[in-house]
Parts: sequence; C-alpha cells; structure tokens
Amino acid sequence: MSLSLRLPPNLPHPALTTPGARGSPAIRLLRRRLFPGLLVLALISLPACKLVRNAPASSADNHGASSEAVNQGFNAAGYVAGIWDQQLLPYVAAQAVPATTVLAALRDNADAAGKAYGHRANDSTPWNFVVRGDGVITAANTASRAATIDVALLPSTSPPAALPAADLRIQIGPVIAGTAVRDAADFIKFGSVTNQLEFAQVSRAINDRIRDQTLKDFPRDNLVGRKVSFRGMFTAPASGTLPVIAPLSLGIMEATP
Amino acid sequence: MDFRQLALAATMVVSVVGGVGVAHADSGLIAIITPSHDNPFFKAEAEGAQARAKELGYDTIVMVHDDDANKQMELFDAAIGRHAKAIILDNAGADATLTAVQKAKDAGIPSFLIDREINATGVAVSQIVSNNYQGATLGGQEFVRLMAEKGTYVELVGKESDTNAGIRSSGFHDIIDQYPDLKLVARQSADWSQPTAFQKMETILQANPDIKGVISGNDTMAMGAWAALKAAGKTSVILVGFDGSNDVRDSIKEGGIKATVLQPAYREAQLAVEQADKYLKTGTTGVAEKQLMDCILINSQNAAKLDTFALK
Repeated sequence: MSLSLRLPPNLPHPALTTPGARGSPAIRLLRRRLFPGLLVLALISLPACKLVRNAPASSADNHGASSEAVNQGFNAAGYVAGIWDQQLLPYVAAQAVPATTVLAALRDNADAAGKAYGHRANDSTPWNFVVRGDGVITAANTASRAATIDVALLPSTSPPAALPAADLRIQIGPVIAGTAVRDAADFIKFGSVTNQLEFAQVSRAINDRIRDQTLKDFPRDNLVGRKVSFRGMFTAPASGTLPVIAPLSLGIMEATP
Repeated sequence: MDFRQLALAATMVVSVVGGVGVAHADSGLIAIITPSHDNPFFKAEAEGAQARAKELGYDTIVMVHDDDANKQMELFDAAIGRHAKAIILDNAGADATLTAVQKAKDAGIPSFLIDREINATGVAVSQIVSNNYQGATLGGQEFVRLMAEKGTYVELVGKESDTNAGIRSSGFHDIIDQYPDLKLVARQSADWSQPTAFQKMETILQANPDIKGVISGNDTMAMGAWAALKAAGKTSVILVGFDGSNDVRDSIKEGGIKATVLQPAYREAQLAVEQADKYLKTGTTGVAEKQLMDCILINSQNAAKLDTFALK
C-alpha cells in the first residue's frame, strides 16, 4: 500500500505554465480581455505534462541503493550511496565529539555549545551535532515502528550497580525521523540541489540507508542493561527533552557482562 | 508602462504607505508582492515585511498577484515603473516567476523571495523559504502519535500547481507510509480552500463514515474539514493542519483540531526586508541566497504562545 500512495514520480511542473501564459503582448491582451477561460483551461490541462530531466549518469547507482527516492530525474538514493563510504562516514569519524562533552555544554549554554561543536546552514535553523559515545541501555521502546533505545552515557568502563538516568535516545528504526544527519554534514548544501523537495529526498535517502545498513543487524530484544557504542547526529532538542540520535554506527558491546 | 498597466497596477494596490503628496522617507520604496490576503498567512507576510521596512525608513507598496503569473508580471512592471529599490516577493509559481524576477534584475531592482522558492539561483538575491518538508514530517510524526500508529485516514492536498503542496504531501507520507497499519482511504486536493475542503470532506464522510484521522496540507483546508466533521458530529476525528494560523490555534485550545505546524511567516518576511536593506547599503546580504527556515510543531502544549504566525 505504501508505495501506491506516494506522489507520482513526476509532479506537475510550474515551468510548463510559462509558454501558455505568455505569448505576444497582443495575444496577452486579447486573451485577458476576451478569453480568460482559455488560460484557465490551459492551466488545468498542463499538469498532465511532464518535465523530463536527464537522470544523472551516476556510477553510484551501482551501490545497491533503493530507487524509491528517485523523483523528477534526481536520484537521491544514488547520490547518498555515492557519498556514504567516501564522504559521510569519514566525516562522522573525524567530526564526532564525545557525547558527554556536547551534552554538558548544551546544559550550560545551548548557543555557546552550538558555536563550539555544532553545525548549521544559517542562523534561522537549529544546531546539529555529531557525537560518539558508549552507554548502557536504560529503556527500549520497540512497540513503535519508530523504535528507540534510551541510553545513559558511560564515561567510565565500570558498569553502574543500578541503571542510571538516560542522557539521550537513539533511533533504531525501522522508522528513522528527522534531518539531523543531512543537516550536520556541512558538505551537503541546500543551495546545491534544485529545490527543497530534492533536499528532502537526500535526507530521506540517508535515513533509509541508516535503516537498511547501519541498523540491519541491531537486535530488538532483551536490550535493557546492555552496553552500546555509537556514532551519530542529533538536532538540538527542545529544553527538557532528550536528544534523539540518528546513528551512523551502533553496536552492542558484547564483551561486557 | 502604458496607461492600461498603470490603471491595473493602481487597482491592485492594497495599501500605499506614504502615498502621493506625503513626505517620503529617505531610503526609497520597497514593493511587497504576495498571493491574496484572503489567506491570513499571506497577510501576515505582507504585514511583517511592511512593518520592518517602515522601521528601516522605507516607503512600501503592498500588492497581491492572486497566484496569477500574468498579474504578477504586471505588478513587477509597476514596481519597476515606480523605481522601487527592492521587491519582496511570495511568488505566483516557481518557473513562471523567473522571467519577472529577471526583468526586475535587468532594471537594477533586486528581488528577495519568501515562502516559495524558484528553481534557479543567481536571479533573486535571497530565497528565504520555510522548510516545508521538515514541517510536514513534524506534522506527520504528531499525526502518527495521535493515531497510535493505526487506523484509517484522509489526506487533503493543496493546490497541485504549488510546489509546496507536493512537498508537504511528500513529507507527510515519508513518515506515515512507514506505518502499515495506517490506511489512507481518500486523498483529494481542496486547492488550499476552506469551502472546497468543507465540500470534499462532506463527500468523503458519506463514503467513509468511520475514518479516524484527517491530515491537511494547510490550515484553511483544515478549518473547512473541521466544520464538516463537526456538522457530521464526528469531533473525535484526529485532525492535523499546517501553517500555524490563529483560527487553528483557537481550535486546538478548544480541543478541536489536534495540531498544526507553524511556518515562521512573519519572521521570514522581516528577514527578507533586513537582507534587502543590507544588500542596498553594502552590496551583499552576507548570507547564502537559498535559506531554509525550520517549522515548529504546534499542539495543545504551546498553542497559547502562537500569534499571527509567530511564537511569542
């Protein structure tokens, strides 16, 4: 069902209204004065047309990404497959700050924390952070499809006697929400795609890949009490709420009893 | 500009601050062009831009294009004819607008776009748009939560020719479609219109009397749908809108509509004027042309703080 509900791959494109709506000044005048209905008819009929753009000849198409996000000739899944190993994962490895450091800074002064550790495209958008850490799972919500684990960070390697309070929440899918990964990756820029629909498709393709690759083997049962190690991104949370991390790597540390 | 265009432009002027015969401020004229003020969202944009322009010492001329690209071109001609220093624009269609903005640029008048983007860069100076997709995913997530991840629902879509209608629907579905127990039973365009949404909702309810939820591409359609649901005695239906209008805020406070997504329209318009001012004074805005502004979820917890498309 879900696939059939998606938008048609080619949305009606406003570009196509231009030729019908323009014409010579004389025609414009005539049409406006005498045949306003013509224009309306033209506008109504035009959405049936398609704007065909050449699909990018991307070698990244061969990386096994889903074609779900392909839309209007822009292959978001292909783009994401192309940057995943070459740019995104190295970026996360290089940029990740210990989560304990970032969370302490956020508690202290959110804006200063953003300036010190965060990423954002402009002053009007929230800060995004790239973090890494180890922690113990204090709760797991696997009833929802947007499943999450709550994690108490472990600055030391010795496990606490009782479960401490959670410091953050990690999305374990299958539904991965938000745009934290895209927005924390400085090299993915809004200005470099045609419009926000394509920009949105990039984020969706990233989240799909997190579900299909990063979280493919992550267990769903008996999670509470186990130790995890993670890297990922989050968008600055509203005060009083846990940061929600989209993981770029997440694993159970099996060696710990 | 010929007489016809002049006359036309004059009739389209909604208000002229510092009109003929009144002493003008030094900074010059800023033209503010938006869709019809019938939708309070566009009215808030115009008011936000106008207020900021006045604070910064500009005269303003406020005009509406009614989503008609021809009319928009005539308004641009009028702005060019009046030697406007800058144009603040919520446009009448992504690609049809390119010609108008280019014409103003050729005449030495920079354009600053708000709300709706165009599919080209380097023609307008700024494009400040709400992150409609991000907002739609917020609305989608809240809808899923309210629906407890299951049940039948209806989607009301905006005007198909408007890019934002597609973006919002895409954002909704990118979340909702990941929940197989949520079943879409009807998906119809109501053209952003309250009366159309009322009629469509009435018809949909006849075929699907037991729907659990409705998600709407904007607040005016949500208000129309809510009126139909109320008339049918189905006020337990979960309804989520988009825009953050005062009408929907009031409905949320009364326990009617459950949530909406605020587009910071007032602030966007003000920001566009600030960037125009900086550009006129220094030759640069100092920021990237394309700027996305995030939307904010509004529900019973924060509805009271919402006023005229801004959180207080």
